[in-house]
Amino acid sequence: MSAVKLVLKVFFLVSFVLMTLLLGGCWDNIELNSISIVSGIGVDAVPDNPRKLHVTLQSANVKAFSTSAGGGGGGDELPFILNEQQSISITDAITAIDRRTSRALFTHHNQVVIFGKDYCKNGVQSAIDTFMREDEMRVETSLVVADGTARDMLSIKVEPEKLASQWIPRMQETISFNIGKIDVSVLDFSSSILKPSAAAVLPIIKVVSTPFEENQLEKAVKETENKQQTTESQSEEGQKQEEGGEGQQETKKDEAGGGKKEEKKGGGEAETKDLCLTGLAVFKEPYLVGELDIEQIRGYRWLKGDVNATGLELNVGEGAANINISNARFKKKVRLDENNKLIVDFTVEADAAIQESFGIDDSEPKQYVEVITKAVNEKIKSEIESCVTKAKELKADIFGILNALYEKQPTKYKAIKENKDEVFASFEMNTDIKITVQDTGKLRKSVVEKWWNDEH
Amino acid sequence: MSIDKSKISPSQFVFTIVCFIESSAVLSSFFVGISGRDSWFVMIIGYLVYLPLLFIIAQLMKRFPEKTIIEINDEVFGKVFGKVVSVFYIWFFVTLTSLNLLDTQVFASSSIVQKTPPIVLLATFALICVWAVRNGISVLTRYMVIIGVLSLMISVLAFFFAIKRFDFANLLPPFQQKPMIYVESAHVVSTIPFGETIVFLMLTPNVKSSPKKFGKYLLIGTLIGAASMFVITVRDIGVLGETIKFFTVPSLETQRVSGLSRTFSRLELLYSIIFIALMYSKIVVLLYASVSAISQVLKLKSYKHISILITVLCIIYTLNLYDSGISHAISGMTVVPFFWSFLEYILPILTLVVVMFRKLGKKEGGANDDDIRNSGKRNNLAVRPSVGNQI
Repeated sequence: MSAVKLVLKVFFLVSFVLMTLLLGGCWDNIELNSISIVSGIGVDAVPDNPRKLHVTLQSANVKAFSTSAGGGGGGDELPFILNEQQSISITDAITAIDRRTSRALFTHHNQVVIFGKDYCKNGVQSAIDTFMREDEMRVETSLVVADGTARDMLSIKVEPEKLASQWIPRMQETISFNIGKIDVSVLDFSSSILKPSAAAVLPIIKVVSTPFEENQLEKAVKETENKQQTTESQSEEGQKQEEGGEGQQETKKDEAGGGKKEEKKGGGEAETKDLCLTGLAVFKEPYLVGELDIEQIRGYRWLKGDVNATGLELNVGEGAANINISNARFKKKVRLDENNKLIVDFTVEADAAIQESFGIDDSEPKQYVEVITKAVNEKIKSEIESCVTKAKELKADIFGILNALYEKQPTKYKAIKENKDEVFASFEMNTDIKITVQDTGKLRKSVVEKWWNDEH
Repeated sequence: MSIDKSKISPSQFVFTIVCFIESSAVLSSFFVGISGRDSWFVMIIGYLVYLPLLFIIAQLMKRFPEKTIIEINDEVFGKVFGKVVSVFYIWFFVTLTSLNLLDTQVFASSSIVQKTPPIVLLATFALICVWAVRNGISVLTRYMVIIGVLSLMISVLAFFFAIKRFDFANLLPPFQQKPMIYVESAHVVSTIPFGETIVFLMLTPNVKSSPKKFGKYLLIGTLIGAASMFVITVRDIGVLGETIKFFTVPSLETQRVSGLSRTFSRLELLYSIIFIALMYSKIVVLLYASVSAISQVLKLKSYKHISILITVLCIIYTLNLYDSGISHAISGMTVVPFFWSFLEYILPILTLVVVMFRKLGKKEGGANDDDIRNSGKRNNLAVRPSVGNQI
């Protein structure tokens, strides 16, 4: 190889290395300190203007986190920054917000999209299109419905995540054992409403007004004390009325004092509050048509067949038990009879382990297991029936029964396609639940049964 | 006789075909957009439709083991009409190069570097490709085994990552669409990824192999490519469900939603890496075919001098091919398959018919031919280790 060629080769090699290092992202370079990372997007309806949306963007306030981490007491700094805009579309709102912020809004790492309940009633199609189409948005982002407005949900502080947009995905992960998988992404939602059933569900989350620092126990104790005081003062009042009566003013003062305290703690935009899953929003196509409560959620999950393990609380007579269900297997057969009546044969087989039991006679193990098995069967059946009744009422096939019919028997589905809602609303279900109690925990018999029996 | 005298091994040849087919698999929207959840079936039909073409390509390779398609045209159709036919092929190769450059640029512009001007992306990518092409077929196919194996591994790995979101019910019920949908989609599959393998007729003289085995190598290469494409298509349908028809790059969205955990997620990076590597492997083959075909028609001694010029023309052609990505997508689903059918199916069939009618070429490559090809001692076909200096 001649010297010139060698020099040329080295020159090209060095040029390429330099080009890789220096030209990478000439136009697309994004510095962390020049962007505002959006972690939650809220979409609400604008009252009296159905064409407009109220878009709320929540970004983490890095300053607040860094001061608190450094021990510099960032107490005054809010952990998030809210940007709001009313516009005809989400991207239009983001563009408008971009005009009044020093940092470019970066939505690629958005964790959750929160729809206000009122917005859902008019259909979420415009938002779904944005999140499916826009390059920077991700189709696996979780969707939830706010019981109230999304703006209110994004404007509170929650513990320990600080931001509602971070609390929601974590809650969805941890709650899966308790209730089952409730996380629904933009892709899942779109896919569901495009199928023959054309129905989907989204979790409903509510801002709970109970302040974080005042727990339920304290509240209950206070309520009991207030009741006692009221009873005492009433009896005193009776006595004083007889004596001439002055105590009435004091009692009113006490009640007013308690009310003010609540108001003070509940008020303020960034006050620490709690969030709570309260149910599932039922969508028929992109429109909100109803809700399922917590018990119905579990019924829904049983029928969907995606509960592998969960916990069940049982009430047996005066006693109670807590059962851990595991190794759940499901069989769902969908068929049409000769009258085009939709019939679903549903079988659940699972193992059960007793985690807690009191007030149930366990002197005869065989009988005890039978009682527990029967109670578990009834509980699961009631959860399923409750959910099915609600779904029939809403004429929304959230279980994918029509999907199953279409997948297995497309010709028969075509026969009922035109009046599928009516067919679904009158479907018949045969439930067969086979639970085997495998384990009674560390105990064969309850150690406290004696005292319980004495009490009752 | 090819003007590039370097040789490639059968494994390089096979993996070049694998990469060529796989690069089309990552851009499945052309046929998935038409046939949706039945695309896996359409893919099989498309491959079966392609098999006769594979036989024709193998026959031409076997009968003319020392000639490229340009030289075959001269011998089969005569000097003048042969050149006319060759011009069609040159247009086809150049257009394919430009279309694939466009696909690469559109992907990068929409998913990775949105603000970077298309010309910069095209120029830098084409620069790498032309650099490889100038070094000859031996150098440009040297990395095909690595790219091919890597992309197969990533495809399998991506399938496992997507299993959590994979729903078999998304593939049901099969065969519920109108018959014309299947015909249209299978036509696209048979022309866009598979039919394009006609370009390998430009590589015949460079393959160090017995002419009898060309068909086998083509079959193995396309089968591996088709199997990989099948796996990718089934995975995308199972993950994306009804929405697959709506996405412009379904595989990218599948990779985006796949992952093992919250931490180990967002795996579109894998897709981007393999997409760029596979597009490189396809474009270098097409660019090589374009420049060597033009050189042969113009009777140049080397293609090296015109390679940069042709690449620049390809870039200009790319920038003016379509006014938008939508036009490109629509054309890929409607017009292009019909144009391609003429070049990929009708012309080769015509060529083989004339060959058989005029009893041209060798019927069977004998053992003696194999020895000669492998040793490279005929018609100055010397096998030399380094290629760049001999072009």
